[in-house]
Amino acid sequence: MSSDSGDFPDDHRKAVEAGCVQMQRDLQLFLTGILRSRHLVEDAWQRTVILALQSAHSARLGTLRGWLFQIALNEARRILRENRKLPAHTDPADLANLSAAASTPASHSSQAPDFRAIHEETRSVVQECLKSLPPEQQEVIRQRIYHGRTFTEIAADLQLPLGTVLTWCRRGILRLKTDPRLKDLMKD
Amino acid sequence: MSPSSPSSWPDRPDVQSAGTADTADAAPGMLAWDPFAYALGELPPAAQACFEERMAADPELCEEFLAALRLLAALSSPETGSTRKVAASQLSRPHSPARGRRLTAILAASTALAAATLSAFSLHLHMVPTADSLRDAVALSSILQQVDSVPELPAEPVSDSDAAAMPLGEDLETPGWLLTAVDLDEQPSTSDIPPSDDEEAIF
Repeated sequence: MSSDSGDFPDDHRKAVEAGCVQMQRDLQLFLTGILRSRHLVEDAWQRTVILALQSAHSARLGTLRGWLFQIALNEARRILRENRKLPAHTDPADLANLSAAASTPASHSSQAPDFRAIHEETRSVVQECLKSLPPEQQEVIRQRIYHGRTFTEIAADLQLPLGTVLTWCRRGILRLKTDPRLKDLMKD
Repeated sequence: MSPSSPSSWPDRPDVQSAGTADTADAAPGMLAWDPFAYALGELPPAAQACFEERMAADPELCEEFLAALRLLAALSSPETGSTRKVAASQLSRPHSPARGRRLTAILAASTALAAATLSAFSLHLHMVPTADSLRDAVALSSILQQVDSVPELPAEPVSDSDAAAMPLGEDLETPGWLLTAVDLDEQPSTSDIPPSDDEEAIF
């Protein structure tokens, strides 16, 4: 069976549809990281799905995930150009809210994996890994990412040079990133 | 919530050379930091655009960015944020005065023990108790009392890099008791003074 244009099989469209459903959470998180606004993410997500379905004939199924990332990125950048006034960086609450939203039953079908269980497991492991960091790195990460304080504020509060605080945060996060306990979880 | 100035970020790969002791400081580590810096809004506008261009050409970088976002999302969850707050006193500071005092105490104790060893060796050489040996004994006794009375400071986490970076002679103050002991040692010998009756009590 062929599509309307007859130049690509219908299974391309089905594969793209399935890819959009399976990757919804990842793509929305990806868009959140770029757009830093849930309102804009909704818009970008809709545009991404529409464009992906319209362009399904050009999709290479072997690299479908990367292809969808490219479409999402292009749409996000288009929106960025249209909306010059954006928050300067991602609000951690947006990331957390999006993760929480993804764990609600309405956001995925019954066949989808249990995002809540995975998320809680991830958080538990993250907590354990976080505790394994030196205290100063734990503190800076907590202040910057959870409380959303700026590095300048943290440095002033701790009466430390800004560079020291920045380095502690960077080292801590990169250690978490390479922690074998987290590495596999973060790929899922 | 306003971001810190992106230009204040000191560790951009293009301005820092690789090869420092910490592997996290190496260039690959700096590249690995880019997705986090982008997500946290710590990149300057030009670097942000550059990172987006790189993602457009590299799906693997998109995956890296997604992994960074997942980690940040997990770290920003309430459970993670409610992790016990670390007291400011627990943070290892590059030039902590408390650590300086601790080092001073350790160095002073080492010096005192060395002086005590030399004094004891000197006593054994003379064999016959003299006024000098008595003064040495008094000095030794006072030194040991001082060493014992050095208060134990709360333990601080000291990383290897911090310890290596700290100059050992910094904040060193010669204690008064040590100067007194040196003065006594430098005074001329008065061997004609008979030994005190308390000498045995001292030992």
